[in-house]
Amino acid sequence: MKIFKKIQKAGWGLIATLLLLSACNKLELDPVPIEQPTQETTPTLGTLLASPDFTFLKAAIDRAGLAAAPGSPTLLQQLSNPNQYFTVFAPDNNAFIASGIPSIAVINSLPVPQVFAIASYHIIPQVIKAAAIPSTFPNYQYPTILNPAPTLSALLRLTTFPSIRSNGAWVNNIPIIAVDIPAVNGVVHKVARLIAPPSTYLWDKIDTDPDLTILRAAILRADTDPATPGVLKGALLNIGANLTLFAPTNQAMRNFISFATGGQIPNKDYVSAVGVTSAGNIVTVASTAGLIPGLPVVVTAGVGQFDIGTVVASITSATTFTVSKVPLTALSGGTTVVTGFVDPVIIGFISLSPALTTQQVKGIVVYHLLSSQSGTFAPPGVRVFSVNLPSTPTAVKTLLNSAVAVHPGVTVKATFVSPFPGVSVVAAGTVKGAANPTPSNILVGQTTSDLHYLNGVIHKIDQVLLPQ
Amino acid sequence: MKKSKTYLLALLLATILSVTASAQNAILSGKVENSATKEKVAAVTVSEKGTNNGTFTDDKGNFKITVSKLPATLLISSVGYELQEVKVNSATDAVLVSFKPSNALGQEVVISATKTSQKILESPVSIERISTSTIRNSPSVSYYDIIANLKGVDVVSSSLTFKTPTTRGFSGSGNLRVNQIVDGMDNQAPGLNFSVGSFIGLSELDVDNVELLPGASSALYGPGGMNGTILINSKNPFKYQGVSVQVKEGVMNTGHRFRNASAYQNAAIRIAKKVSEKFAFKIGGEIIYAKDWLGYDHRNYARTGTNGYIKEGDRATDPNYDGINVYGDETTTDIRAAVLNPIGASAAPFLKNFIDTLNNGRPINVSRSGYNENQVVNENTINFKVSGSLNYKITPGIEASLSGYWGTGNTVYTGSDRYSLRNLKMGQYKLEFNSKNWLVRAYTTQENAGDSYNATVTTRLLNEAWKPSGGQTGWFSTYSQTYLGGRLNGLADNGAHTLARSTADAGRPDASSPQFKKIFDSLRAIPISKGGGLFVDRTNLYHVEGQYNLSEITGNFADVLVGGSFKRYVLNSEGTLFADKDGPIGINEVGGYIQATKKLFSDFLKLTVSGRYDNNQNFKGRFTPRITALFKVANNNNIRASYQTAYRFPSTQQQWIDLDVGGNTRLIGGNSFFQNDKGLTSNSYLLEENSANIKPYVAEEFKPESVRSFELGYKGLLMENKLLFDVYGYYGQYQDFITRRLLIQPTSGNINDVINAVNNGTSPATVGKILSIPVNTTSKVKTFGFGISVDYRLPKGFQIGANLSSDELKDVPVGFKTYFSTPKYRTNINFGNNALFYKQRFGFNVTYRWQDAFFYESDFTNGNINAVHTLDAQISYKIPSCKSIIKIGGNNLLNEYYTNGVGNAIIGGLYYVSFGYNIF
Repeated sequence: MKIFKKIQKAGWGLIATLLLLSACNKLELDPVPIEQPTQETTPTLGTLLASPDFTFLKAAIDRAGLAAAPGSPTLLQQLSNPNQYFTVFAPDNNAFIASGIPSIAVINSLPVPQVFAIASYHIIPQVIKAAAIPSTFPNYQYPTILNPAPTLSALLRLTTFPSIRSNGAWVNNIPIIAVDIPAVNGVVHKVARLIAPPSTYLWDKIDTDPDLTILRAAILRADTDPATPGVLKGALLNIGANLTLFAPTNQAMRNFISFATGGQIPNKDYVSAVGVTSAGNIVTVASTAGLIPGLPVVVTAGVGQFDIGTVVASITSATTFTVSKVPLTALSGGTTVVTGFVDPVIIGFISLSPALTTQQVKGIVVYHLLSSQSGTFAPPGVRVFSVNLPSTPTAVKTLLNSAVAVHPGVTVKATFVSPFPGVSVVAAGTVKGAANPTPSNILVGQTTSDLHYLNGVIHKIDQVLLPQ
Repeated sequence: MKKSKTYLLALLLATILSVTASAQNAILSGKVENSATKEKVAAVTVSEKGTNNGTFTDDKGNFKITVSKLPATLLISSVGYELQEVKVNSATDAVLVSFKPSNALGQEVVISATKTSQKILESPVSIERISTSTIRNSPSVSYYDIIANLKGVDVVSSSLTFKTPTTRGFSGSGNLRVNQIVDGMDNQAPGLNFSVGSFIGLSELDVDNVELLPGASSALYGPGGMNGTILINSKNPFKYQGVSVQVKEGVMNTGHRFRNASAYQNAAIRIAKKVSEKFAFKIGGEIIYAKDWLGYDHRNYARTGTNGYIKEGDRATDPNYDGINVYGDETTTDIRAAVLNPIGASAAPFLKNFIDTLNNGRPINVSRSGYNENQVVNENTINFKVSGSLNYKITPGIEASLSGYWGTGNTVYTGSDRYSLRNLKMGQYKLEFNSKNWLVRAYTTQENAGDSYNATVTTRLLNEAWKPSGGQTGWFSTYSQTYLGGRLNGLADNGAHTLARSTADAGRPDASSPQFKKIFDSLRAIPISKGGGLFVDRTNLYHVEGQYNLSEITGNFADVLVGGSFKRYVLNSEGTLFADKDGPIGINEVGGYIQATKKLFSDFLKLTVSGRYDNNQNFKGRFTPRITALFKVANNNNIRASYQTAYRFPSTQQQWIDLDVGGNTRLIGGNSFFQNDKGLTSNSYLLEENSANIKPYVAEEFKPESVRSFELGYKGLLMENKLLFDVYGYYGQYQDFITRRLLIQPTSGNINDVINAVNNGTSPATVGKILSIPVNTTSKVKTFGFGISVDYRLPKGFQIGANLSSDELKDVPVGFKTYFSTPKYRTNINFGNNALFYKQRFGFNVTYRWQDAFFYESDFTNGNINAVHTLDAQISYKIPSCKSIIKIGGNNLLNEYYTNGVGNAIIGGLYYVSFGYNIF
């Protein structure tokens, strides 16, 4: 009986043990979150910009905040949100002053949309520390948070072009003077000037610059190629394009035409041989010999040139055009005949068909546009500010390479100077075509180089680049 | 013909003579009752000593037997009681037998080991048995669950009513390597390929016994039994009579973790009647209703076709999250390649550099938002089964039976996906003749998948229905543009993904909405081949077999048993599951076996040699031999040794499946038909996780797999027959192992696209069509293990038992997916007493099970399963006056949730009260 009791006791003990054991199931069913890096919450970019160095910028950002839609975060709130990440190219107070904005009062007097655009153009929605800024030619485009047409697409963004080289760092062509000021939600790089956001297209410049009229005519003629009708002008008007145009001035173009035609076209502004008369807004071109069907005829009327019509195939003699763009009388200030001239060089360029075919004209034009390293027109394209040019002669591809892959391209070079420690700027630059005996000079200057547009940059040059 | 007529005449004469003789006999009647509890004992064998006369007590313990003469000696016997002899001198008085319960061990008789009756102690191979008393006293809520507590058994529970037991490794839902035979019929659904014993088998009240042969057993039972054969036998209406009723009311899901607490309801009835000495019938049924256990593994799964692994990440931190039991999120794409790069290339080239920097230039894989299992799989599990038979004794020694078994209901099965089996129907109908020496059996299995659907496919289609994934306004486009916009506004990657998902999911139907129900219900009603989730399957099986025991003729030399079978599958899925668009596909199999048993050296050694040959029209014939030796080292002490072989023809699905499982992935069969049908002779490559191993696919012969097994064991009674000890060790070698390989056919025809996708971590399904094809492995995989059990009878009716078993795999080539899915160790301990306290009417039983942690591999998921402990217990009280028993029990008593297969049901506690009337 004792043994039985012992065994019975052991049985109950066993049950108790089993109860304990069976409470040990470990069931793994829940997903394990991917560990996110822990972060501090201060200082945010918003906090950093409250520093005395950035009172102008802070004022601009505050004013830009007025552009925020009701219920949407202001620029400052976004910069202060630890869950939103940005790189701010921050002009300090001196940069504002150097850029022509002497006081906060001026900032506050500017239209809010303009301030918003300027401020937003300094902010990139990703963290790019100095080490990550591209150091290879030419550069990369980084979208800013500035959407020029939000109603058109939520994904539109104006882009900036940070670059770093052995002799400095820039965003577009603005020197970066201090880097990697850290915040929990990004980084600040201090810049020497305001970075102006572009607002017009390359074509807008070409179309309106009196010193680029011959280039304009050449582009239009190149676009008459039946294989690629209107492509070049389309690209120059496309916000998605990303181009660098070495733009020969009119004088450069005249020199080239004269050279190309063996002096057939006099190197002067106006040619009396082509008579132009006008009455009211009617312009008569006496001779249309050599005019190319489909091309516009241009009248130069003192302050500019205007499209006055389109040549049609049936033109064989003197033709009358109706000025549809601007009444010529308005230009003359009177009702009498306007002294108008067809730019002989343009006509000449157009009429050069025996000497230069459309293909040749197209070849020359595309030779002035830098291309992707692949030698194609494909995105992301190339936008080279003068500061991005190498300091030693370097061959880079042009759009001509899309047709002639082995073409050596053009050779570019820039000479840098340092106006003050830590800052390098371009003093001179050249670009040389393969067949040019001497390099063409990049006309370094505020109105002639680093002309920045929505879809590219223009550097005027003093020679036409000859591919062969 | 002339010979046949002679036999018939002889048979008729014998019958007449028998009837004539009976006129001279005496008829005795009596009653058998338990000497201790005074319960009437049913189904007791009452026979006249020295004759073949015999009968059984009915449900009230009464018997009536015709004896040849008086005085007569009656033998009263039943498992669990001591054999009793009663001398009867007169037929006038009723015979009252006070039947003494016995606590003796090892007295059960088993048949399956050699297809002949023998004491379990003398079985030449390992065998386990569950008797009616075991079922009656077990705490398990279902008799099928008791199988899990047998030595060496593993079970994968896909749901409450869909359980798959396995022995000696290769466990899995719907395991193909275990035969389940119910009343001599293969219980495997012929088209769906899983055995439905737990779903459409016998009702608990009709189960007489369950025998389990672990390991290889093809030599007698034909192809399939590579990892065991389970034989479930029903109660004969001649022996088990009366009306039996059992009602179980329970509660489950009490943890409120996955579902709210819900009822478990189970009711069963069995009616059996011996109408005369020649005719008896039975009919019974069972219904189960409950809220099913839920598949609730929400871990993140990196899926490639039918392969993958669990990885970090949840919906909030991994945009490409694919929860195991979350459906619809298998639809994935690299939004960089599909949407963002095209934006950068044309629509917004100024963003190209920016896009290039996203996710450090790597693919940005995103999956669609999914739905949880409880939202797409019917929570109500219903199981209704009915069976019956008409039994007629043509002569006292020849019995004919016409039986039907039919079941239907809802349950959940895990294959390469989770399948909601709704209104699945399966019927088995059998005509059988058997006598002492021979049997002839013909049956058919009629399967109908009903409204069953693939939860994954249907939910993916639901996502496509409310918002297509592709296209300019599609889900991925919306997601990608919002994500890009978010990043352009400075949002962190995670924040941008969250924003993108909420934007893309705008309008996503809530799982409880009428819109969801309408879309989902319409999709699950459309066959998979027509763009829905329904699989149609009306595959049937026809089977004829016979067996003859020639021992009366050959007995001087050896006991010889011969048999043969023919079966024909008729695959009929109307092109939704099989490649049978052009009409049903037939598959024929024929086989025969012979077994000879010889006792040698004064019965010291019993040698049994068996062999079986089977032929399938699609494969070469196979011979499977078996040799067993039983050494009787002492009375009730035997050592057994065996060499067994088994093989398996590829299942009907492995031969002919042609199923699109979504994600540009298709399961196909191994039949040579697919080589041309799917263009496997060109532009087809083996898809590997390591791109260096991707190479052209070269077709090889698809063969049956086989196993050779060696076993040594001992079973005996020790310590004055109070201890039953059983131990075995085995070694098995698998050859031509059938597994699945993934092929890919690159859309572009360029394999480099696939290589790049693999290297970039992008789903290869985005650049090519994935085909999962069954193949044989060239490696020989080896298994070995052991099992040991002790059962001890304590004083006062207490019983304690324990078993421990182990299975291991070795020589597995690196990277080889074995589907072994088996813990190295498992143990079961039970303790109980069925006669306690007041008039010995109380009883209790406690069962504890532990299984080791293991790595689970299946086509649905791969992953670790932690160690599992479960405790089941019951307390019962008998009311002899109304032949009733009340039981209060609990399975997984502590409600410690567990699973035994990744992605399968999460099982909690189930507590019940049962009332049983007239349970034998």
